[in-house]
Amino acid sequence: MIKRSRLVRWKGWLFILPGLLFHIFAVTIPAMLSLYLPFTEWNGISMPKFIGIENFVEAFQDRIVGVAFLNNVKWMLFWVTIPIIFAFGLAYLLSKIKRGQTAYQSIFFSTSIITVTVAGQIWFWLYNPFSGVNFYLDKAGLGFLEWPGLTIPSFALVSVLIADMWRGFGGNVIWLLAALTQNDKSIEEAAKLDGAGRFRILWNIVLPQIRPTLVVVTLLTALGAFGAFEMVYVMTGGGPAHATETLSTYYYSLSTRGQRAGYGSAIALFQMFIAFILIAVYAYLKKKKGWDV
Amino acid sequence: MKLRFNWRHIPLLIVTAFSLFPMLLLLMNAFKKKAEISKNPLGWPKFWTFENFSMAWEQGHFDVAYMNTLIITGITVVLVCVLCGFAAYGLTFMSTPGSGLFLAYLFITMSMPIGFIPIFFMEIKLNLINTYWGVIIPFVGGAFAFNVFLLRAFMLGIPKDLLESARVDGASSIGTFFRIILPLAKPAFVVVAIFTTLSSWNEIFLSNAILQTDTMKTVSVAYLNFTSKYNTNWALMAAGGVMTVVPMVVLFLLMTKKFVSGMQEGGVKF
Repeated sequence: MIKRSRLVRWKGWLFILPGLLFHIFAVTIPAMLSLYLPFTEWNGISMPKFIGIENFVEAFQDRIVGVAFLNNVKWMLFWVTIPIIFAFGLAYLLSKIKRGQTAYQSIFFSTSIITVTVAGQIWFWLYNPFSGVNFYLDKAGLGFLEWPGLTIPSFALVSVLIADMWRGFGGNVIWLLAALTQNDKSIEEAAKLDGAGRFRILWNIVLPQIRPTLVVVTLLTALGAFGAFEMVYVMTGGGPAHATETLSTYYYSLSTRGQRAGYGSAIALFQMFIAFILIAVYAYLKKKKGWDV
Repeated sequence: MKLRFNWRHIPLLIVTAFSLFPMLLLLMNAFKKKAEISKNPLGWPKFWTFENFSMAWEQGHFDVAYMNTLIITGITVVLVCVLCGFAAYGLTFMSTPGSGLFLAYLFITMSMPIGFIPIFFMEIKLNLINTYWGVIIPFVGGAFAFNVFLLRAFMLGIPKDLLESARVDGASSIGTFFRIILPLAKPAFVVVAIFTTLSSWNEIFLSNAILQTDTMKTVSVAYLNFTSKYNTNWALMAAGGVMTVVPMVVLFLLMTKKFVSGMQEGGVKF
């Protein structure tokens, strides 16, 4: 009897195993390989040759890695400030209206379902120096406001960021609104009766209550920013002159076009390391500071 | 009672315009004649034409691309639903030994970024480049952990007594899954299915590297080629763009509520 019931319990693994095999192929083995490949020289065809830390030495001297890393940092600083404040503002406004909440939410989110290759193309038109928005600025005699967009390195990154924000802000609005609607309204009412101003209520009552969600959204956004790839790849491919290169686009082109898989994985490992630090900071805040996130 | 207009609608409507205008622009340009676009790039079309669509369909080889995308998305969605459903079922109802450890393992792997380079070169070694399975396997494997958690969370709310009675009636484990769990957990499976559809339809990171020949490309990836080839013909590109996104837009319009509630519950990040 005992033997049979144990057998029945192990049967559960038969249900887990098929999916697990996919997971092992797509996640576990690649994760282990990505710890080994950075220490090899590999053109993607022959067997990887162990070369020690040479790739890392090269990466630290590579100017493009520096530029890409800095772009990732800029990308992250942008995403954890402007789009999150923007999304919070919208969620806060939405929480105060009675009708049309769902309609607004779905419209804001609808930009996220547009395939990134098409979204990039649309923004390409908007930024086009001859037609696009500049065309109308010129006509209205406001030529000095012209936005050079993707052609000039110093503007290119911001231009891609705006397009990326257009595509991605809706999800944050939905999450923050979900958190806001769970807030205890009675505290707010009480504070209002006590004569607290609008900003005081916002700062001392609304924000602390949604802090868990805010922290998670910020973490996910920051992690996403360090993996930034799609919009950059589609709109500029890292150019002009590597001005918009991110770590992801750089190792992507190194390994698919440059045939330098070993070196590319060293950069990818560096990126994983940063993600690890961000998660560690989050875990620290959660544990040590007692943030109930 | 006097109907008062809430001032908050003004900023919200401005952002609505900011969201919708680029999409509207795509739609408008798709109906313009090629010559009109240079004079009227962002405005409403003066003469509506449909020929851009048929031209783009032919020159962009959309028939092939659509077929590829349907196959890849279809197989991925079915596999994700069945395999993640099975695993969640095994973890929730079968008191499988080691399930706690297994969940911890899944949780850890979930926070790791995709190992793109290792996958790419494993597939070169295994001859999976330019095959449907070359993208389906990483899609399913990559989506596994998150969706198992999502489905398990839902299944925990299903009373165990229901399964006991089914077992007494002589139903097998698989039979119980399809006859009892699947119908009861349908809302969760629908959310998993629509978000998997969306992400595999729109995916370009892996597909762009793995599907290299034109005959294997998905629409999202094929559109990238299409735009670089017909760079100057905006009308054609716009029509191609509309055709690339239209299935997902229709899906979204049909299931708007599911998308929004799915986002609220799951926290799915693209």
